[in-house]
Amino acid sequence: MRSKLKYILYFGLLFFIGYAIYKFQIEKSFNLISVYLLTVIYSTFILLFKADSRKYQPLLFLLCLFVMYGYKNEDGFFSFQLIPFLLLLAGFAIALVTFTSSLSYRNKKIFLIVYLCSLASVYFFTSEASHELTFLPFVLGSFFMFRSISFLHELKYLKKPVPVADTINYFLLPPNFSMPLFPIVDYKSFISSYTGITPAAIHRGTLLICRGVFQLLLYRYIYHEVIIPFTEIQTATQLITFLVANFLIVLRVIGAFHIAIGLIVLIGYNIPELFNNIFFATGFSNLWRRTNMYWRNFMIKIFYYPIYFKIKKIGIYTALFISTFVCFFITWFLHTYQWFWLKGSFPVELKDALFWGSFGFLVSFNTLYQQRSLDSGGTPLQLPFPAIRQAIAGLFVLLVMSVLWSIWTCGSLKDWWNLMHNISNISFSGIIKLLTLALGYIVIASIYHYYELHKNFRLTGIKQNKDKLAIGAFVVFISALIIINLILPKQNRKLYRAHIYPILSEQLNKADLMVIDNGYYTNLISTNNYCSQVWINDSDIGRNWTKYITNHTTRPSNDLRLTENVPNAEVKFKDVTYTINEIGLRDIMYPKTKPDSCYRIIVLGGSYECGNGMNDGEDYISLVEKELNSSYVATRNDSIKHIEIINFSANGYRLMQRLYEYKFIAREWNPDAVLLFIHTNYSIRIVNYLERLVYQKFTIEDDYLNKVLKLRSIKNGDDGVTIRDKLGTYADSINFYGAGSIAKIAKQDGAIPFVVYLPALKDTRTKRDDDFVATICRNDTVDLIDMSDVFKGMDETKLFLSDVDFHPNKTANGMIANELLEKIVAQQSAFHLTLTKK
Amino acid sequence: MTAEEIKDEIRNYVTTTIIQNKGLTITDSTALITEGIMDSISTLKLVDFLENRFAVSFEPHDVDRENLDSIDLIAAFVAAKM
Repeated sequence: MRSKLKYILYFGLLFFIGYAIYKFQIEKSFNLISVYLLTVIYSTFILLFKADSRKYQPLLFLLCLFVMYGYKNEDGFFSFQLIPFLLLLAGFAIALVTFTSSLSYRNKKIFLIVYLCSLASVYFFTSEASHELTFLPFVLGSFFMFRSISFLHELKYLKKPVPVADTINYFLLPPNFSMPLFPIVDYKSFISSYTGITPAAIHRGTLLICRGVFQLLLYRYIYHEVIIPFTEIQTATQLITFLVANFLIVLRVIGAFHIAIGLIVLIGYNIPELFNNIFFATGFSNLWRRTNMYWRNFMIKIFYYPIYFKIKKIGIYTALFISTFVCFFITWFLHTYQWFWLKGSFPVELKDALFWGSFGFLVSFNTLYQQRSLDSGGTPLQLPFPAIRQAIAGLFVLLVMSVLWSIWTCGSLKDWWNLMHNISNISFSGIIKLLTLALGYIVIASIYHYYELHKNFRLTGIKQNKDKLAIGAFVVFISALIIINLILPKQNRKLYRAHIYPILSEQLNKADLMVIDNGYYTNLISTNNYCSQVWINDSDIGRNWTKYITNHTTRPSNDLRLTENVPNAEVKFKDVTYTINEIGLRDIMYPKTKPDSCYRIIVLGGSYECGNGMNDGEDYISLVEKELNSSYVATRNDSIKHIEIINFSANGYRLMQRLYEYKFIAREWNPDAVLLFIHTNYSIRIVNYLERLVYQKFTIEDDYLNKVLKLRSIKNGDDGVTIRDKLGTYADSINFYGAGSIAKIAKQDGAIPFVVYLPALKDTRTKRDDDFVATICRNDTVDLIDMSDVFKGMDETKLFLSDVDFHPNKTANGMIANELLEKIVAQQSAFHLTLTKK
Repeated sequence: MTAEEIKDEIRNYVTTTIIQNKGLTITDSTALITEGIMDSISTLKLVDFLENRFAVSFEPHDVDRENLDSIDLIAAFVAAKM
């Protein structure tokens, strides 16, 4: 009876965790909730029917495959995707049949090479033509890239036959679906770890999952609340906080891996621990021992020992040093190999070599130093307060690793070096803040080390009950978050939106949004880094419309606009047709000469106005044009007018590009009105434009711009941070110049300029944005079409094109169109039009 | 050399070189690798000792928990190799 109650409690807790995973969108991009729930339900059934989990695990795998790739959720409907499902099924079947067949070891090795090469070729040959097939190497690669190596290595030395079911189960690990970056489970450890679904397994699995969920929430807190965009780092205090926080977001991997291991334990394989409190490591070799132990064991077994045995004749210490060091370089290569399977690219960068080389050197040196000390035979000096000394050593390791980590995760060494310049800007209050943080770490780490040093002797009460305490604390913590999530939006929506919502949902932080918005230069937290949320966006080609469209429909223009739409480009992507007309506009064709019966409006905008993700004619510009003509009679000076709205927008156009598009191209179309769309964050966006501009070889034919570039000494080769620092307040001046010039030219040509203020969905609208728009309108006497409240009261997440592309979806396009139409009708006199409802 | 003599020598090596003054008490069945008492480097140093002292030869895949996790296992493995 008592054991039944215990089971009920555990499964109750597991479903409660499932609710938290669902509610807080934990690893939502990879659909963790589906795999998690299927696994928990599976374990419940196996336990109820006392079945052999080993036999039925492939069934769980198939269910997960079906949910992940058999169905696709589009617009709330389920549609069966038979081909991806069958292709993946075939891919798994071919590999498993070969691996479990009686083929010789050599032939299995050859098969693996051919298999991986075939998958890799899908990346090479389909990257441009069809992204739809990239799921094949992505999924199969993530399942087989390392486990097949571990399997073949062990196969050679196996002393007794392994049950086929264990080998199949080893490859078909369901959590791998929602965690493409997966721990390298060791084949030998796995096949010997089967215990079945026992109370101990459920207990351990639950604890691991609780730990993982907590770590992922902690990661989110650091990611959203501590990390700031590197362009905002000005002082040493901000720099050091950023570096440490940037290292701490490795919690994302740690948390995800703990959930993965927890789910494997839940299905009956009691595999070993993976991490051991890495932030409390007391030395570099100690850190290496505590970090991703599966990876370390894989490296030791496959590379370290064989290398050592080959060279051990040169002397044990030299051989140890060389083997360790070489292993770190292999680790570098294997990380790149791993990224190839997950992203389809093989980035070989100096900063990676620098990180792994430095880390390898520190670990090798530290290890040998310790060994030499031990070999000297002397009794180690017994110093007082060992826990505090270990905590101080831990702080040193944490700081050094944070610096090394920042090299690895930064966009380029130049970005990193520029960032480091802030170290000289230190204040007294900054020093006090840093010392307080350091002291906080030392206190916590000392308690940890004290417990570690004395765990065999004291604190038995805590030791015996620590699991219960941990689970209790977890339940209280999650319940508190659920309550906050329910109550706070009603009590204080602003506070909720700013600080709670981002943590309790899968969102990008400000720094990563800038990565996406500004392109490569702000890529300080590299997208080759799984810890960065951007990686999800970057990898999720299938749902990122804007990325796809920009790649396929824009090209360099070799003028001040830098890029332009490719005439006659047509892209069919995700059941949507996106066409560029013969003169390079995302619009239908209009005659250049304006007919007398026509009132012509020109739109100058960016990706929002292009209507990414919308079918031709369904973007808000086209919808407004259609509605104006079908529902209203437009008259000007008593003559009826047909209204044309010609869309001169292009993906990625900043304000200055809109000016040049208008000045050199659009004005020739003789408009009656010009709508300049302004969203948010323009002072940052101009930096990105200038960085790209000064990099070009052509002459910059704009006197004002040349003057500013000269005055602020901005030159070819300056990166974003340098340009930002050199520009200072001139960023706004350039934008005012851009908007002012559009207004001036329009007025000269007899057209009426308007500013349409439409804050971007994902951006936090600031007073600075409002002031910027107000100043343009005031200085240049331009009418404002204020759309800043168009999404007021709406849940923004329901308005994004997808969870990785934050442009407006169909609903949002409809809302913008309705609001814009209303505003045009309300401000018809400013257009010198009379609009009468039909 | 008898099995007991092999074990004595191994025990002596583990106690004096690996355990040293760490204040740990071990038995012949204590899991040295699993419990984290021996790391990869001390394992290789043990292998070096075993190769030199007992004139046996190790292959990379022999360096494994299965063969070296306790004094009992190490002694049995060395005896089988001799």
